[in-house]
Amino acid sequence: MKSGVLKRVLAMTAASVLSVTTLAGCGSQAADTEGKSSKSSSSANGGTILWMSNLSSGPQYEAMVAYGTKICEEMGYNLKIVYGDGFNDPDGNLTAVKNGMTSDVVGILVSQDGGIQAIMDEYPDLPVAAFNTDMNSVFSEDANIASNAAVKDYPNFLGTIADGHINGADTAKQNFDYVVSQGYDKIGVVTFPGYAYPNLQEASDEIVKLCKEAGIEIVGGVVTLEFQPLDESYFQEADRDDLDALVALCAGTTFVYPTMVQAKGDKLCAADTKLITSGFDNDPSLVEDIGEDGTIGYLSISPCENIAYGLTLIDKAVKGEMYDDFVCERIDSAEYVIDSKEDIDNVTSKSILANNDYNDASVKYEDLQACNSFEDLKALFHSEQVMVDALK
Amino acid sequence: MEEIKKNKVSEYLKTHINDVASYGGLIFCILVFTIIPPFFGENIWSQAKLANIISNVIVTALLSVGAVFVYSLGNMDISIGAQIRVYAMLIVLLGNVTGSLLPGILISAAIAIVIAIINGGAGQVLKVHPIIPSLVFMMILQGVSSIAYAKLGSRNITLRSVDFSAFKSTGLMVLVLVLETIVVSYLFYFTKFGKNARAIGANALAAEQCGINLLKFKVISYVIMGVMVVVAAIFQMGYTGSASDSTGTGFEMNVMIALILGGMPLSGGMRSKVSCAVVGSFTYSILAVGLPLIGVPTNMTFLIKSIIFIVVVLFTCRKKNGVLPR
Repeated sequence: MKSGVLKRVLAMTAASVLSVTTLAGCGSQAADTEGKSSKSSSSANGGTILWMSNLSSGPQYEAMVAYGTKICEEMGYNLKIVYGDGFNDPDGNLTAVKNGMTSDVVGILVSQDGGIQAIMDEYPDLPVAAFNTDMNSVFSEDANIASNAAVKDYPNFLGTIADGHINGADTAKQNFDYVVSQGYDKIGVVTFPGYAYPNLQEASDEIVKLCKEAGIEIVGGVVTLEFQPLDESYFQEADRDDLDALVALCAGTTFVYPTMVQAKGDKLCAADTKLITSGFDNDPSLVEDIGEDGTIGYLSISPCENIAYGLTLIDKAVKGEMYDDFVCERIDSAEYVIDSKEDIDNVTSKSILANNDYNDASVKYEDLQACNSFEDLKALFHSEQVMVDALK
Repeated sequence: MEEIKKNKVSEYLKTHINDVASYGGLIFCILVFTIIPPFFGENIWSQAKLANIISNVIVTALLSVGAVFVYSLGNMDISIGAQIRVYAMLIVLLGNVTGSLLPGILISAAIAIVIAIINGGAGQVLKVHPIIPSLVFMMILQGVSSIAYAKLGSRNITLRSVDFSAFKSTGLMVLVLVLETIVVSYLFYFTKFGKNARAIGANALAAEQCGINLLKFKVISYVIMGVMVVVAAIFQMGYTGSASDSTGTGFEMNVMIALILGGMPLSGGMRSKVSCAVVGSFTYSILAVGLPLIGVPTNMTFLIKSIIFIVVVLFTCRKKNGVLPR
């Protein structure tokens, strides 16, 4: 055999061995994990709950995975994660769930609303709950053109706990109240496109109305970010160099904060302009910049523990023990409201966001067990114990 | 005698290394995912998983089979994804307005043919790289869909009054894929369209001097692909009965990956085969469906797919004597 061909055959053999080893390695890794799960909770034999996540990295994702896995173990399940389509495309979400589906899956937890009807049509016997999504475009029939069937009418849909408020007007009110409390009278507002986030459109319309009534100027009107970070030129527009605050209805820590810091460094933005937004990042420089003296004056974060809301409903449905008073509905999330150095210090040292430690979670499995009704469950996720003050 | 046999094997491997790598890759995947999943209590040959593989493979396979003509020229079209997005949107919108899918399909087909004529002809007439016109169309179509969805006030739209369940039928998917493969294979192997396309890919100058009209056969190749893009768009829309502002994202890359996995020479030419599209699409989909069945976490599947892709590329796409295989 000629040496060139021999080399190729050898290379092919080596590649096959490499692939098999990789596959076997991954497979055994998963098996090991399952083994550990079984050890820590001998009852982890109730099947698998498949979570279609809207995140794939970051401190909130890590905390949700750690906490969700522990809660599932306590309930007797494994938690398996698949990643929803990056653009929330219905086809992409359905494909993600179908590809990740195994015979032991007993329920589906979703954090995106695209294609949920198709997923439930595909798996009509599996209970489906949602969290971190308001399901705005698909919940009811009159939602909009994205919906040809209301997910609330599906017998296997168990409702959702939103990331923040389900109602955009409430989001606007929350931010507006802080603006008023600080005595700001000259602000900027940025948001994501309304076609993608109808509730943010509602929020921006509402905040414009509230500010107009209160005599607070929104310099240059509301600016829409097409999923791109705010451009530094924003601060070069007339009168935007000395805003009291910039309200970012979108994920401001990612899409606005870096630009704002850069603009402050370039003297395009006043040093005392505050950012009012939501979301979390554990980048030390960002964390240091939160609070009374920092750039981020007000930050709201939905607790990672919200994942347990959906898991509990799935657990009840799987075991046939659903609450007597259960109705499929969308509920607001409680929020960590961080507006001081003390708050952020507490969140980064005492909450599950600090080190993904279940012991630091604000809602434990025992708390979930203690809920005797759906009202109890909802109350738990809005109780004092999931507020930032409980970390003091 | 022994020496002659060895030489024959050696010669066969040398001339068919692409086939060995691509078919070998598919057979390897089938074997692995047949043998290992039962240890995890799963079965890739279950009805549900087979249906999943077909629904995974259908759009990529339809597009890849259609793209064989263009790839055999040594060209590629990166507007495929954006075309799918716009056609799916048109089919849904017009379906909701008229109560029938036909108007949307016909208008999409008309647009696809116009785009194909420009895509195929512009490179030849304007003497620019053939990928440039498709790049322009990609941007135009992205802009059109972006404006349309902003006007619609939603990121996705759903068929309301038209029954699209037929397009979810595994049987129909297989039937259409088989029919398309037969039609494209016939055109590719038994008509002058395919022969001339491959000849152009092998050596455009020689083909032209042999009297082949480059402009005509390039345009025809793009038109064949354009029609197949519309067929794929119908099934893409039919998957969930919806279209969104991200429908089709990355499809041009999926087609490229499938064709390369199937052993298609990137520079086109006489070694181009329709089977490359089918083999590559199935390999890619079996990986997507099979890896979770053996306990591989989702985030690891991308890594494994890339390793397998690299291995196949090393066999099929390396330059020989400074020239890409063709």
